[in-house]
Amino acid sequence: MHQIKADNLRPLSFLGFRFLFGKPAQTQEAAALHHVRHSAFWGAVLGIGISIVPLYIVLFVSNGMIQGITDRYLETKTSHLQLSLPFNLNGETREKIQQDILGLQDVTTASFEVDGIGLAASSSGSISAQIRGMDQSVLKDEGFTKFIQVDDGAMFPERQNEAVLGRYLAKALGVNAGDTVTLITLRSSGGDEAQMLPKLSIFRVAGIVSSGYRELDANWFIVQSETALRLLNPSTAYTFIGIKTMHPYGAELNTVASEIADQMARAGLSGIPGVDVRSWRDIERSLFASFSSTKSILILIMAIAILVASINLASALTTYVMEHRTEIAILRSFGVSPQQTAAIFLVGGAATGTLGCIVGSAVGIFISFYINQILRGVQAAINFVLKLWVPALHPMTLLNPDYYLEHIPIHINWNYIIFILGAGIVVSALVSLVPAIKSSHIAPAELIRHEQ
Amino acid sequence: MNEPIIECKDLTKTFSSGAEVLRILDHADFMLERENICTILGPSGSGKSTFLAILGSLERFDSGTVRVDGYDLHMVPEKSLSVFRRNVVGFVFQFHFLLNDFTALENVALPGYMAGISRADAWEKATKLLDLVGLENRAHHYPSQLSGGERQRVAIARALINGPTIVLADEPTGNLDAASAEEVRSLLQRLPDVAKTTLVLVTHDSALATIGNTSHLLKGGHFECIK
Repeated sequence: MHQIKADNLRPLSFLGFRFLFGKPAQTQEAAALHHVRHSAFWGAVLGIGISIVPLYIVLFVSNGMIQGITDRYLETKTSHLQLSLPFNLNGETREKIQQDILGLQDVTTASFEVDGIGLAASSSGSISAQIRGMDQSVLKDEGFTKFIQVDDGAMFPERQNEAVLGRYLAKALGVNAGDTVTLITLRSSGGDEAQMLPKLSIFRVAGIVSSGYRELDANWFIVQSETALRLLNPSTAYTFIGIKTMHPYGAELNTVASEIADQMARAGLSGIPGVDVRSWRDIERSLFASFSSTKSILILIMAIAILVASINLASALTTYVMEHRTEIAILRSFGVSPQQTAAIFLVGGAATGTLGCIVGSAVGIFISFYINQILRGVQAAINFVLKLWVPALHPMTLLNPDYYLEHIPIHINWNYIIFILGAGIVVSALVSLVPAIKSSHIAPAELIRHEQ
Repeated sequence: MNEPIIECKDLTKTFSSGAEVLRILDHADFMLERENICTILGPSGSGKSTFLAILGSLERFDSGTVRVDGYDLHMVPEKSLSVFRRNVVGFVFQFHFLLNDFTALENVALPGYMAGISRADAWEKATKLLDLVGLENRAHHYPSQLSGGERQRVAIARALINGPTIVLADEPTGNLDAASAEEVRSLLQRLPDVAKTTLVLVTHDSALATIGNTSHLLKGGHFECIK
């Protein structure tokens, strides 16, 4: 059997390229001829290219969005690790634990926090709020201060009767910095037959802040941790030390978690109910699972589009083979083997797919990289046109910052690019198999039939 | 007597058309010596082109033996026939069968390039062959830019690129005007000398028929040596 060796690939690829894409024509007549004969393959290249562009955009934009939201969650709410503690743990022990954690390598900050639920009320109405009793040390946390934007007033309540509200909670309550809000919490009455009684506390709004993500901004009612310990019910509140590390996304996080667990064991706290170290991956598992599944569905839809484009390539290649039986028979008449014939079209098909993948990747990466600028440009263009027609119309926003990040952080991941290119080439080669095999069955004897 | 390059014995080839069986070659015998020119004549439909296709392994035959330059074509498996076509025979058809998207030079060089000659060598060899057929100045023209005679001369150059021991030409002047036919005839006549090859020529062209050292008439499925 005639084997296809690496050296033999050169003439095969020469033929494959020339058959499918032709040679730049030197005369207008030849140009017209080539255009007609090879447009199907440029169409296939374009089809694959166009189908790949949205895949890149979806992948990079969704990754950017998820990354941006994850960063905000981690730096402003969840922390990288949480060491949950009993509500009634005395302050001295808590301080000691905090200091021990800060002494660990890789740990940058450790802040105590008490979380609970309450009802915030103002003259405009009432709304449920997430009470965050935070330690002032959070102001030294660069991650927190980086993502928190102060709309009005201060970033942190300086007094026990002050609160800092999330942007949308303040909006819902219709309050500004300096106004007062009422917080209703539930406290146990104490004694053997304890009852839950509402407790009303009045706070002055010291500031209004935003994390840049509506879901967080709609709930935050930030008070000092001592205030939260006083207001919240021990059975429903959650107390923890939020720990930030230098490598929140790396394997080092698990090492730090193990070291903290060891410290707890040494301090005799490991067996106490409510004491546990969890990473952000566990704490926000359901949220990121939902992000991940949404992204997977989008990628699946995009992959189907690529498959359709690949089938278009297979169809163009099959049509070419059927329409050029004579040329293939000519090749066979001068000794090109069936395997070589198949290889010519396999190489040609894979080259078509590769070209499409490269073009699509270049465009996709470019659009992804400049997606923020492109969106702003498109938005400005739409608003300009709309304003010409309806001057009174409010400017529209393509990505409502209430629900999306205002700036999508895009990081080009070369692994994705290599995978998409590789998969595109393999899929193109696979769909080219059928027309390639068809071509190998064309016998040189067809030339004789052609003559007759 | 020289060693025969083609030797056919009891060669039979039939075609079926519905219930009817057409016996094109009927236990035919044929022999040809090296570096000769042999013309095969015969009425239309007598099986001349089929015989040529059998010699070139483009067609299978029903029975008998066909030995071409040491290859027993009945025994050569289908997969190895490509090697035989590449190394032993060169074809010239009535219709030139050049690849339209390739220049004259590329058309000539391709069989060599596909046979494993390096690109530079194949192109150099093709240039020399175009020189041999008098088309060195047409090397970069596409078939659509060549006359009928020029196309046929390119086809002859292509047939010679791999140094075949036999060139099989099927009515090579059938589609040409008189002047072009004369150019092709003159070229074919020189082939055994310049290319050290044997030429088997099927033709209706009486002028072309005269160039053969031997001539055979194919009639009723049998060969009759007439020269």
